[in-house]
Amino acid sequence: MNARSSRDDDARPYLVEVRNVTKRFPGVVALGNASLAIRPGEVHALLGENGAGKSTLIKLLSGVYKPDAGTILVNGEPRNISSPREAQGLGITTIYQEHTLAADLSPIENIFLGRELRAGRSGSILVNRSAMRARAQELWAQFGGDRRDLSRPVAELGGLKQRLIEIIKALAFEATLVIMDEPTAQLPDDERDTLLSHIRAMRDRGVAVLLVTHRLDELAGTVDRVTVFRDGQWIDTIPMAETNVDAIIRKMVGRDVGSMAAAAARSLSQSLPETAPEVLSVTGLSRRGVLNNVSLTLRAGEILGIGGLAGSGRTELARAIIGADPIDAGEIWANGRTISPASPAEAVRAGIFMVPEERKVLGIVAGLDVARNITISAPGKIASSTFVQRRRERSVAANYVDELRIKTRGPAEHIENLSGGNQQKVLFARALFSDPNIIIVDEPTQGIDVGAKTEVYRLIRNFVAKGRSVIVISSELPELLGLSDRVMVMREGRKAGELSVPIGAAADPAQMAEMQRQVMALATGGNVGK
Amino acid sequence: MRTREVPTPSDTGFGATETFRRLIGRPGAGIFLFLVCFLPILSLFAPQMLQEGNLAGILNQMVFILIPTLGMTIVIISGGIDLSVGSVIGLSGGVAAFLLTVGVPMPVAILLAIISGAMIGAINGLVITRLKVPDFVATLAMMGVARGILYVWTNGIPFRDYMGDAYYIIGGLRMIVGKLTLPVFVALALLLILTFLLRRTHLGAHFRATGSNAEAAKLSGIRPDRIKMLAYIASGALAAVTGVMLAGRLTTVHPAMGSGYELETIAAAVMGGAALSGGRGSFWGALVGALTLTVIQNAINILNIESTWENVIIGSIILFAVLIDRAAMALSRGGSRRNASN
Repeated sequence: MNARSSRDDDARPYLVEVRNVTKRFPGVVALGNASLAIRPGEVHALLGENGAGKSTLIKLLSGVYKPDAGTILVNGEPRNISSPREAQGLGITTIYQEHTLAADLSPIENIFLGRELRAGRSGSILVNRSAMRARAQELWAQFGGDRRDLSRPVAELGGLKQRLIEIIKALAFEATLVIMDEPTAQLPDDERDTLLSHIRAMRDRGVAVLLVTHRLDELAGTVDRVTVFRDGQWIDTIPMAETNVDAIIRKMVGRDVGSMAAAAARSLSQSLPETAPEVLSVTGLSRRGVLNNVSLTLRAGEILGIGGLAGSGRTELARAIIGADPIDAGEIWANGRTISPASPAEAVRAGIFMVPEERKVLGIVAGLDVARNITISAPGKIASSTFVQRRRERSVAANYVDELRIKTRGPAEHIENLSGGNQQKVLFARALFSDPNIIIVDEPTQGIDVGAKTEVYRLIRNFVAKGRSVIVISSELPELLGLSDRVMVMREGRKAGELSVPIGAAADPAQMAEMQRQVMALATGGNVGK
Repeated sequence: MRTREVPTPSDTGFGATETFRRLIGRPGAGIFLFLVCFLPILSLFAPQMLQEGNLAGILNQMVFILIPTLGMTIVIISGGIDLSVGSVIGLSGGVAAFLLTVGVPMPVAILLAIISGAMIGAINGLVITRLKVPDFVATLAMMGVARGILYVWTNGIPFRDYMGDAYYIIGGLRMIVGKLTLPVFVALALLLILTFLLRRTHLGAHFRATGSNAEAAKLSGIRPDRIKMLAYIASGALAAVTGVMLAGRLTTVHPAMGSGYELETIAAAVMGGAALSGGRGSFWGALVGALTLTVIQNAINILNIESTWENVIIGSIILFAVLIDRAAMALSRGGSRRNASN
């Protein structure tokens, strides 16, 4: 472990300091009075659950957003960072989670893109290719890279090398702070260790790193200090040497988790009978590089929650079950028979319907009205022979609009005009219209307001009250724990564990907090058995 | 203009396999190999194909496709498509011919014709970057507008009687060196200048970055909109150069002059390995593409294949060429492609 004690350089001024910064978006306070201080040459981890405000803070530091209130100081001076270019000029470079390399260009071209070294005097229009090559090779050698990699398109390099190229791109321009948003996501373990060792090497050369990560097991040994955010607020900043993963999770989760869970929770009377038959059983589901031997069961009238970090294979599991992605191995048994859906349409026929995440991209069909959006998956039910009957479609849709309390001027309204929550209800109506007995919902309340969330919970509850079953995928732990009878946690394509949620747990904040801690521990691989 | 060049001395140590892999992965390499294999076979059936006169003829004809294909390649690399090329060829040829008939000196007439082409390109670029009209739609509209202007202007009657002595040379109707004509040297000069500009200045990387990942380009401080403007201006100007020469070659400017060139140039660029998804393509690939297209047309003529079959054959070969290019790229990436792009 690095000999550097967390205290011995307290006297040094902060490299970058965020003071009492507030950032609002319509309807949400993403950051309220948030603060963060980064010392020169430290690895600082920024932690928090989804929606804690980490991304917003990163974007403020990299000049993508401007704060509504508060100050950002760089080397002790207040700065107005108004563009990514300006941030880079101040020595702050951000490596986003989505790759920001041009895949068709070589690493050399990517590293110097927009800042090409010129031949001869400055102002020359000619670029100095050999100087760029030499500088890139020098940096690449420090990372132990093979220089042949530098002249083939970035697309041909693996994930680790792409990350390293992005780091070099930052270093080539004398970055003093490199912000990395989940740099180890999607990297296999050995490559992740390599990347972390490079991050430590960068620190030892005096470059500060702000690391945003969900994988808490990679903190120890790499990170000097940790800052925890929750609900847009600064919670604590602690030297890593003086804390542990368990304590950090507690800070991330907080104590005040009751209200959301309670909103999602079933009433005490609705317990699941012991005798409820199995309706879905999945065994040994595998898809190379994505899913590894995952099994689950679902009983009639049950809500099964699937938790885990983004990228842990939750959505991929659901997609494999409904036949949206091919599988390499595994069996799916649903409603009394073995099925092997080759397409979502076949899954619908077998009684399974999925309401996808990213409503705007995967869910609603923009340009069509509410009615058509509801009936689109099962046109046969409103058609006479071949042609869709418009009038029948409208009246069917009108029923759903009433029943689900969809706020719209009518079935003929264009779907884009509805609020996010109401669009979600339309998607739910689409699912109901196919009359499945299993619905899979992926992030059902993503980006919708609290009132609409409660409505969505009600729809899910009503559905299972009829003896049907739901699988809920959610990143919001209170929602997941409040809704589900059982929660299964995924990590890196595997089932990491399962918890059953006792009746009435949602009403008990202490119990909820403890369960959240357990889910987080399973999801992150943090060692918190005790 | 790709950076995957033949290794320079400082890169020694790549094995022969590695060198082969890099070469085969370059845009147009697949179709080049095809051409090299195809030509001898073809010459068995039609020995006259390889005669000096015919080869020069192929070159003299090929450059009329090559020059606009260079522009199309720039546009495609930066992530766009230019359907107005054929109409710009017609209209700029018309501008040159008209100015000559009213007595404007030839250099001025030619310059103005080229400027008119560049301006049409600039309008395409503005409509695409400012008004956010998709490239396909914007240039499709311009294709109609520019062609329509030529029809209205000529009233359907071709421009004629503008051919001075010098214009016979410009149009390539007189040979200047051996059996080669001026347009061949114009094309060669343009090919060298453009290759130099894209390889030795920042432009090459900026065009490809814009087409490959405009967001990454923006975050790197490039203005993708400017780069796209530049691409369309270049395409318009190069089409206009072609139009000026084609007016000489045909000796009259019919209002339909140049129609069909947009598809032939797209075909040549794509055969040369330009990816319509942007980011990939090369001028040497464009050369190979234009050459292949012309050789096939020439073979069809020599072998006396009914002209009704021409389109079927060319269409099939375009498809074949693209599949070859993709196979060559897969071969090139073969072992090195691990965990590739997301």
